[in-house]
Amino acid sequence: MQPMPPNTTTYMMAGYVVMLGGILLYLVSLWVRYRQVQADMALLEEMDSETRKMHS
Amino acid sequence: MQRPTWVRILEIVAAVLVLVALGMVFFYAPLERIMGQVQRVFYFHVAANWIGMLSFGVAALSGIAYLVTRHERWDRLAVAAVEIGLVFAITGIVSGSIWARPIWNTWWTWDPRLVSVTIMVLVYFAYLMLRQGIEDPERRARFAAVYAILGFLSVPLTFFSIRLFRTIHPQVIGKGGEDAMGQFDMTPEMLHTLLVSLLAYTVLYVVLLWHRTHLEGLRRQVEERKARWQSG
Repeated sequence: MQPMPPNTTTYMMAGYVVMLGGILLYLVSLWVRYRQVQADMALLEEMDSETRKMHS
Repeated sequence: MQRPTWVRILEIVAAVLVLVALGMVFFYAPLERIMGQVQRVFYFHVAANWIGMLSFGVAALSGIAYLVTRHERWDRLAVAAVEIGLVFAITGIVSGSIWARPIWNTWWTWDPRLVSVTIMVLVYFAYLMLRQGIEDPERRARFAAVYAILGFLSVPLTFFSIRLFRTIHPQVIGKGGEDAMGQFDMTPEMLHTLLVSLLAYTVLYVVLLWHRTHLEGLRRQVEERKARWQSG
């Protein structure tokens, strides 16, 4: 009779939580940074148009 | 967010491939009898480390391209590649440590592979710190390009560490050494699962690289416009 493999399921689950969670966190960080850059762009656009109005 | 059609298609392909790879890991690849379920960490662990090394290679090639052309797009690509490479290399290290706990009976040991991969990660953390420390964009890009090329030496050192030194780390390509703990013979199903995992992570990497490079371009545009505002 062959011996049963050891129960290492918890470690396997922890491994995948770390690997997929790490990528997910990175995706969230990219999304947050995109949002920040877009907000900065919009603000700069607004400031530019205000300046143009003042000069015209 | 505006992005080319090919990026949108690759995003879908990457998501599908990751799901297929996960399905193969859990339902197609057989259970390894000595290690049990934890052996399944191997598929994504190898893929994560592959992407880490590939990404640092992309950074080195971008460094060469920057030094030749002096075009800032190569600098953007290099910084994106290093950042993504670090994410994957760190998940590779942590998942390896989790695998090692039941197999080696320790979370960490000063094995040549573990030491060399840690050095590689520290080398690329230092790359990001170097960039933070230089104000002038042209000088920063030039120094970073040279550093990315020199830093790449840590990649072959990591890859060949299990072939050059006495180690307990298993070897995926070729036969492991006598001291390797956790070495196993891959069945065809295991090999298919590994190859699909590698493909899934590679496509995902291309998508992430495009997004991070694009984000860097937008961030630089904002910085330039802010600088113009401040200078009046």
